[in-house]
Order: sequence, then C-alpha cells, then structure tokens
Amino acid sequence: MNEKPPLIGFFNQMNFLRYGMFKSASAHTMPNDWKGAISLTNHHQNESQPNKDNNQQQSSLVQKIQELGQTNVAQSPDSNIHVLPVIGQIEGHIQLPPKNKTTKYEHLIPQIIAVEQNPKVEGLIVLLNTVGGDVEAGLAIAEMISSLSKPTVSIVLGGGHSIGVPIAVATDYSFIAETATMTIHPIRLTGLVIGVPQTFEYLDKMQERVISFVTRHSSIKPEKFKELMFATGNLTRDIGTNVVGEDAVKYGLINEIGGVHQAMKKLNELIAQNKGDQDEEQVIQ
Amino acid sequence: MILYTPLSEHDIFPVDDQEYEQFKWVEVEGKMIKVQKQNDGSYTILQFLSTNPQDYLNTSYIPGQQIYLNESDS
Repeated sequence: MNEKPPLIGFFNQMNFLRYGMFKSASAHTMPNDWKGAISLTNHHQNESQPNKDNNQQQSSLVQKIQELGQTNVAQSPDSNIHVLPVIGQIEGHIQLPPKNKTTKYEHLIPQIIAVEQNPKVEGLIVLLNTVGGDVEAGLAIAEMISSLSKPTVSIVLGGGHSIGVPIAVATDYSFIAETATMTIHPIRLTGLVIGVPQTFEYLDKMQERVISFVTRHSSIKPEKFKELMFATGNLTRDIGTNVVGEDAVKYGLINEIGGVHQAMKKLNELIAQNKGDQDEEQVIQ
Repeated sequence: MILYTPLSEHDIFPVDDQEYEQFKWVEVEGKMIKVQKQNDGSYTILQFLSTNPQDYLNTSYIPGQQIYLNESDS
C-alpha cells in the first residue's frame, strides 16, 4: 500500500494553502489595466512564528470540519462533464435582499457560453432546486440551455417550481427525483415589465411563451399543461398544481425518474452518440 | 402572522441598504465567489460558483475560508 500517513497529508495541504497560487497575484504585481480585478492573499501569512502558525493550521482544520464535516476533500481526475446548479430564486432585473438564496442569470449565461466554447467539456448536467422567480430571466436561461450544441441532462432535486419547469425541460433529457415536486401555476400579477404596469393581454402573451416553450421541449400536450396550470383545489388561495416526481413523468413533462446515477449514465450515452454523429459527418465531408 | 398579498415580503418590509453592502461577488482567477465582509476587513467565502465540478474540490475556495482582498480602486 502506498498510503501516506494522514498527518503528512494534512501538512502538505496546509503548505498548499499558504504558498498557494494566490500569492503570485497580489496587488503590487498586478498590472494597472486590471480594472476592478481583485486578488487574494491568504489569511495565514505569519511565517516567522512557528507556534502561531501551528495554531492557525489547527484553526483552519477546525474550520474545514465546521464547513464540510470532514478534514479532507476527495480528489478525482478531470471531468468532461460540467455542472450548472440552479438554486433558490431565479433573480431577474431586481436585486433581491441578501438573505434570499438566488441564481443570477448574469452569472449563469456566461457559464453556459463557456461550456459551449470549451472543447474539453463534452456534456452539461443541470441541477435544479429552485422555487422559480423572474419569468424573463428563467426563460433566458432555458433558451440558452436548449440551444447548446453539447448533450445536456437535467435533474430536478427537491423542487423545480414555476419558471424552473421550462429550465428542467430545456435539456435533451430530464430526470426527476422520486420525491421532488414541480409547481405549475399561471404567471403572477406582480412586478413591472420594463417599468410599465402590464395589461392582462401582455401577461397572457407572456404565459403563452412559457407554455409553448414547455410543450416544444417535452412531450406534455398544451391542453394538459394548461389544465394543470389552472387547476383549483390544490394550492391555498391560488390556482395551479403541485406535480410530484412520478406524475411529472406520467404527464410527459419529465422523461424519467432518477438521480445522479441515471443522469450520468444517460449523459455519457448522449456524449457517445454525439461523438458518433460528428465522426459520421466528417466521413461524409 | 400570515400576510395574504401578491406583493413580496421585501416590498412590504424594506431591507436596509447596509445589508446589501456586506456581501459581494468577486472574480478570482476567472471564478466567481460570494464573500461577506468581516469587521476586521477580511472576507469570508460564502458561496462559490463554477461549472467545473473539480473546482469545488479546491481547498482554497472552501466556503468559510477567510481571505483578504486586495482591491484596486481605479
């Protein structure tokens, strides 16, 4: 066995932390044209006091246990699959108070472009646990995911509610955890559209965009989707339906029940298929 | 208390501007991290954003890690 004693592993890691990559990019070496760029220096900089150093190493260890519940994180080889988490509320034009956990479209869209451009990335997995949020931001993310040339798979974990529904169906193949739910409801009458209060017709048109996107990217029929959307008796003082895992598959909204294992398997299948198609194209050319 | 209203909570109870200021997103080596300012001028990493699953294993970006930011003002 070639295993290192755990203590040595631990100190090695601490050295990495102390002499890590951040030091080389401290402010005085930074070029002037890096406007707004920010570099990090590590917290532990006191090198001449071994005792204090030791304490800091210990506190860092305690911190790691507090944050992650373990001292060491697993390492694995480079991944050809990237992951896009969509969590909390989908934030649109208005910044939500900091206590809200949000996904910002201005963060996600550049990442989706990076995934498309990076030749090392062969597939994208979208993890959803969202309560929904801004309609336009959600649709923008969904459109970006659906227009990716690389294979994509989504997993709905916990919840993929409201505008999370188009994002979940935007991928090539979708999974939902057995206990996960998706709330389908009409667009709400809150907020402003580009600073102007909207008319009912405008809202209706906006809703039509959601319905057409979902029905184009899944096998649910528009009639069924509308029926779920306007159902009464399921939600308190609201109309709509809370669709649980198996029902989402039954209605044709989601392809299959499953978790990480099934999603990775499917994605690898799609990647292999994609590669096969590309090879074929090259032969024809 | 239950408020039955189509308005969101923060429309009814406005949030103090200072709450926004203590959090910010910064870009470090092309990766986005959300940090919270501490009283001593340092920052604590709250959230890390990347599509590369390997980045989440990098111990330098672990949430809870205390860091100093050298901010270039110009």
